[in-house]
Amino acid sequence: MERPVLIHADVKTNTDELKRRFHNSFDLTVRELTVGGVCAAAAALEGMCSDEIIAETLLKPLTNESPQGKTALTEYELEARLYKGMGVQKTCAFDEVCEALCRGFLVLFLENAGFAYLFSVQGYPKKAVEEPQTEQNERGATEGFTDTLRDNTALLRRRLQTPFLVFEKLELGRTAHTPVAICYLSDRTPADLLEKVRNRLSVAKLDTLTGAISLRPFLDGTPPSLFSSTGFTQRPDKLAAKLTEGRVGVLADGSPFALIVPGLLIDYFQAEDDYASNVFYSFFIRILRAVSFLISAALPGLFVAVCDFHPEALPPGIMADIAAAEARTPFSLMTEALLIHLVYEIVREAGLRMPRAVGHAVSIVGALAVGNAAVEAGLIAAPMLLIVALTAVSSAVVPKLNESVAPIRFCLIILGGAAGSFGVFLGIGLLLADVCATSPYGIPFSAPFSPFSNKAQADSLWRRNMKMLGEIRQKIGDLKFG
Amino acid sequence: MNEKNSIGAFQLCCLFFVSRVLALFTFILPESERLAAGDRPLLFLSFFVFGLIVLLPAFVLCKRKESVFDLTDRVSPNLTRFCAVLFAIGAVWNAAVGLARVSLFAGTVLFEGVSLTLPMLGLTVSSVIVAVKGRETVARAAVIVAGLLIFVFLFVLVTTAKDFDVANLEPPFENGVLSFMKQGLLAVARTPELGALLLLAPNVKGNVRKSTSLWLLFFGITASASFLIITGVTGAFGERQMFQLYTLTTLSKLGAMERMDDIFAAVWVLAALIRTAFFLGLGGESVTRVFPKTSLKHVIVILGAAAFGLCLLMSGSVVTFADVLASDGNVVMFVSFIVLLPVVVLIAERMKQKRERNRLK
Repeated sequence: MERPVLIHADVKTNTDELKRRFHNSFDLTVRELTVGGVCAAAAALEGMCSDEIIAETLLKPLTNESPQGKTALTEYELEARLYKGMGVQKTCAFDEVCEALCRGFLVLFLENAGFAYLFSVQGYPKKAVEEPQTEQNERGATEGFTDTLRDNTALLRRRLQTPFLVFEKLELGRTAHTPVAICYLSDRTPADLLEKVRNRLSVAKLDTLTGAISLRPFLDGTPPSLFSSTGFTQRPDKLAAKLTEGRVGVLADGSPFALIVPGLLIDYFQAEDDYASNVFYSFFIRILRAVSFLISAALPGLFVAVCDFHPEALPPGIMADIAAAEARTPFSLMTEALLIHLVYEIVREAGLRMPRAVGHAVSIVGALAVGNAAVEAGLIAAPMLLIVALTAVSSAVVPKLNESVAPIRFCLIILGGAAGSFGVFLGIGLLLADVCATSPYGIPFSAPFSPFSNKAQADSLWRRNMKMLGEIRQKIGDLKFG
Repeated sequence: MNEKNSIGAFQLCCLFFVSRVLALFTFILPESERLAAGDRPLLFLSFFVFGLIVLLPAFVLCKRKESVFDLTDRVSPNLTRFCAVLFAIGAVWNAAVGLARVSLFAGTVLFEGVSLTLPMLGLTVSSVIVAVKGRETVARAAVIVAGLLIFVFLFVLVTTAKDFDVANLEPPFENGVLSFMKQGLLAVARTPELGALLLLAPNVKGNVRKSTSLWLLFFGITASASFLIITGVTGAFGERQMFQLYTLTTLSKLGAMERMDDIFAAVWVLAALIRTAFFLGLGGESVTRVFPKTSLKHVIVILGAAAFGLCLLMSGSVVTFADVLASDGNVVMFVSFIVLLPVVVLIAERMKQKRERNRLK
């Protein structure tokens, strides 16, 4: 094992070593000063520390003349001054000094000391707490996670003011060393679940961590599934609610998303607003989300299957209209469905990646101009356009499932075109098996429906009223093995 | 007990229900075995009673948390190997029967005059994929499919009930009580799922006896209700149809949607998928009992291929298939392996224990 490089007694040697280690990077600033008559040097990475805190709380008291006038301060006196206003650590290892600098600490070397003080003066630019863009709410809380881990832990702590809330810190990314926090309620989270999360994160071999979402494949387990069993949210209130069920949260610095482990299929059909509505409306809206998911996945495939193989399933008038419209197009129904859905995915992707203002324009052009022109040119039939529109709107109801739904949709169109409803339902059967096979933490993704849990039905598609829901303590561990 | 591979009693019952519903929907019998129309609504009674009797040895195994192989192991390991091979053959046979049912049904109704080799290959491959995912997966999927099937059943029954004509019904026991009893007994003997319990006993959690008894009753009532509505709605016309429950679905309509039978029929594909995967999984586990070092996945793939081949052979003609289903060989196999084998082995084990106790004294 390599021996750690220790801090030298000479300040100049230390600052030179620091510059060497940072390859004379321009953002490393080193300032020589005298503290209580002792030669010293302060180092920090520009932009990572708060200038105000450094000036007011640190440098001012330190560089003041010592009460005794010319004599140097004793270590005790010095530390008494240092510990006045902020978090201070001492270290003898140069590696720790470098790590601390990268995290926004200020490092102070003193002549003949042989150690360095690390001051917690972080003050890097960060985004303010805003309403989450991906999970809008009508009546619920409006705060969303930010890109800063500390802020996110604070947002969560504010909602769960209990000593049982634990944040375990770890670093991920061989190069980036991004701080990641595992959060859970120690009195509710099953120990084996927590252990599995720790193990899976500890083997996550990444160079850099671009966001918490990048950790999903490590948490999902094998075999790979179309559906991720790791949920995510931008809302601290949602994460707090999930933690109270005994789930585990994962936060990463630089990401406004928190991961929820384990995620269940039913989570996708629930929203925080549901708890602000009455039970009947929330039941209706959850069913609507589930139906929208089914429509967005299976409607195009079923449409192709019914029109091609089982036209008698439709009322004769409607069937005649569809047949007349389709007769004018050059493609088979399946090809038409595949093409128009491909165009829809292109327009959607363009709208997502373009600057917002342009994105809207692209969407409108895609939807109106291309769609209308294609129908008028006789390339696409109007009923198919209607199906695409319905599919697109439905997929927007449960946007988190979009990445799973898009490939399913294409597969079901092909199956519907090849083998009619037989093929579509065969595809649905395989999909169902995929959902039912997903259980990376021993808690089935399909719970609480299969295996059926009576207790968990208190808040699944149907939700009991808040008075009764408060009495039932939902625990994720109860869903294990049915 | 292997916790990871265990399923709940409720899941097991859903699995059995889904598997049986496929048989109900694609119900084919030779002319010689046509049920007396008046007896059908009461069939659940004899089915329930005989089913319970047949299940008694399985219930003993469930109580002891042992499979039939654990029992035969104590008598002779060679007997276990012999039984495992036979159970594997039985499982493949049942998987093939399920596939052949779908093939005949789809060939008659969904894709008339079209070669079904590719769709059936698709169904077999899908079943293998699902079976490889494990028994838990199949059981979980069965719960959801069972819910869907019950919904479809209720929908069809409710929407066709308005055409129910009491005049179509016939008095029960026209052919005598013995004939009625015989039909019940045959219905039980054609329920291979009951044998599956002999293998699954140690891996089922919950009150298996209560759940399975309730399943027998529930399925019996479902089948009887279906027959009652079929007779009441379709009368003599239905009698002459090959797939009577399907004929009933063609009469089901709601508002502008008049013919949803093909969609309903496709729902039965899900049942076929679950049933085939279930039996392939059981067959695979039986084979790995004989060859413990063999990969279960590979065994399931081979069994799937065998089931597909058998299905192609069986689904050549409806008449042949009906005769195969109605052959006495099926009943003999059922009685030998599902009733007699566990009873004989249980008695043999008891006698062995008694002898050892006497020797100790």
